[in-house]
Amino acid sequence: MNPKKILFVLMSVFAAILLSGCGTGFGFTNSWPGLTSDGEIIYLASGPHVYAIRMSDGQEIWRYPEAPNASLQFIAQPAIAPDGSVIVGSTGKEFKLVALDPTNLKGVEFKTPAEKWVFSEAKSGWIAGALILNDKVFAPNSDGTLYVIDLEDGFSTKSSLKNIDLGGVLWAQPSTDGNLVFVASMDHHLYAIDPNTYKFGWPAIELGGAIPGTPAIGPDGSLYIGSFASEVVKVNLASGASTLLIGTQGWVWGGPVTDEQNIYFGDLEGNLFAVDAKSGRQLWTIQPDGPVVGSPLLVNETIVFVTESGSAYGVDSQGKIIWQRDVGGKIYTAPVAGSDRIIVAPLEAGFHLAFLDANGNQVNTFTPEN
Amino acid sequence: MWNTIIIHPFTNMLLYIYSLLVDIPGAFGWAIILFTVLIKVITWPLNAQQLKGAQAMQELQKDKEWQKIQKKYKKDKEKLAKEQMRIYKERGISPFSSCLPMLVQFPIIIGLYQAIIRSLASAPLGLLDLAQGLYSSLDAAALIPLNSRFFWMDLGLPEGIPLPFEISFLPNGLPTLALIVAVTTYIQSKLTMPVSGNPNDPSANMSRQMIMIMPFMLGYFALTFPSGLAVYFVTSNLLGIFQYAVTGRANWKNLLPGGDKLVTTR
Repeated sequence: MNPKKILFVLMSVFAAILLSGCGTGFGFTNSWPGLTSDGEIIYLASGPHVYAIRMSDGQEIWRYPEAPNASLQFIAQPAIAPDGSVIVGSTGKEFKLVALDPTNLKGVEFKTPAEKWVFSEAKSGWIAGALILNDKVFAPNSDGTLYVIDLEDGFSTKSSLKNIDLGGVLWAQPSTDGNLVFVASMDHHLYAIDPNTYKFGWPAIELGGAIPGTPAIGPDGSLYIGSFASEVVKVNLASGASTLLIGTQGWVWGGPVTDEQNIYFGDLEGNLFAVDAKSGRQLWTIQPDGPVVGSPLLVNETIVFVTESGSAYGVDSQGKIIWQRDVGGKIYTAPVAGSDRIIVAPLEAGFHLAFLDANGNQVNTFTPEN
Repeated sequence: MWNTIIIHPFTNMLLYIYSLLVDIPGAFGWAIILFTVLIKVITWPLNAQQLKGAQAMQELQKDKEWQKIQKKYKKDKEKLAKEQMRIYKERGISPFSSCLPMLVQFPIIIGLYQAIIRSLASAPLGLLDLAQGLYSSLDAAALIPLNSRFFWMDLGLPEGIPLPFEISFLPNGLPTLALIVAVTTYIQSKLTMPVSGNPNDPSANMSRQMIMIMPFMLGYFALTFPSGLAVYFVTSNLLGIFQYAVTGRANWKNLLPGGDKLVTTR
């Protein structure tokens, strides 16, 4: 073959590789799914759809939108409003935050809820779930803005009450103690915002690394949050003063969870930590089979967590592994629970959800039709 | 394997350069440019070899003996191939000398592309992937997320200067960088691919096709992919033109209308 022809073929191969390297094209956002539950219904934001699935039998109740839309991808954790509306944002090419009305289902092939309202003013994708407080939605966006939206104004096309420009990229669902809204940013800062005046409760705290996890209120009334600086800090809610709780071996991705005494969290080096909130003493640490990205889940006396290696673990309060289940794929999403079931959402496992019983036995799976 | 040998070293090198420039506005854009320069310097001998091979092949197209065997064995492909190989051997020309260096460069180009895309992770899974490939010697926690602003561009998004009106097929506005990519690719192609005066020469036809296709192809990439890649294309093209110029291989007359004929008929 003529060398020029070979060169031409090679250039074409190069083009093909470049194109294939971007999956389905630029604008497609590939990440792990968002998962939440009200105890009876599971809400799963996964790729082109948001699904509502019955916890008891794993059956799909509805999906949104009815047919896939190439511009919409869903990975943000859905939020459930007091009136039962499901609020979820999209990423991909179109960035809309939508409130879905599960009491108004339509659709031919699949049931789909009506859009109660839509907010389309964000400039980037919705990666984080929203926080609902006092009839307001506090929705952090990747464009660095915390959008505040009125739940009760009755408009079907929403404008924001307030745009709070925090900078950086916001990937973490906010949390609250009822007085302040705590927003973690990938710009390394933790912000506290008054939900009524929208002023900062205290100056932003620099944590030395990006913060993709949700801050947690501990049993002592302090705020706990980890970061890519490989540490978890404790923040005094009144003053905003922060102190190091513990250094970790790897980056801390998921937000910590707390019970009446302790703080639990994982790191990317594959450790799960238990720390006494009062003394700051590390109680125990265990090394599962892979990095721990998602936040742990407390189910009765058991600490449930998942690993990138596709395993789910149940650990007692002494740090003893009670059960381990090889679910398959890779698991990054924090598990949820309800109706005596623990739900995990793996990637690349051949199914979207695995239903485990209290002993870690897999009793069901969910794979959407089509 | 691919990640360990190509992607991870490239990504870490890119982020290392970024860490040195982090206080400069547009640091990631400058890091891409510097990294491209570095890659070009490393691959300079390969490029030079490729140019030399291409020029030798081009000269051969004008050789009388070569043209004679093309006519003589027009209908006997096997014999033609044997004669071509004989001439290659006699003249000390390797027909692949212009292609092999390009082949070696492909992993580098693709690695650089993937390093840029990976560094600008726009979703959690991408960032996790990036995090797990970083060397411990790099203070990545302080660097991430990268500042992707570079002049008017967000290097993680397709480029475009907003227009006062909307054009449906240009959702990002005027694709300035894509146009620069297309123009510099065209110039580089024209400078380095002098076409034969023989209209029946398949090699010349292929050259003409490539000169036309490549600018559109790379321009399309620059239009649709993150603008960090377009910055790489422009830098690479300009460095390529520079290399051809300093080695005296650039055919500047080709840029003039009918210039390619001037080259081949002189």
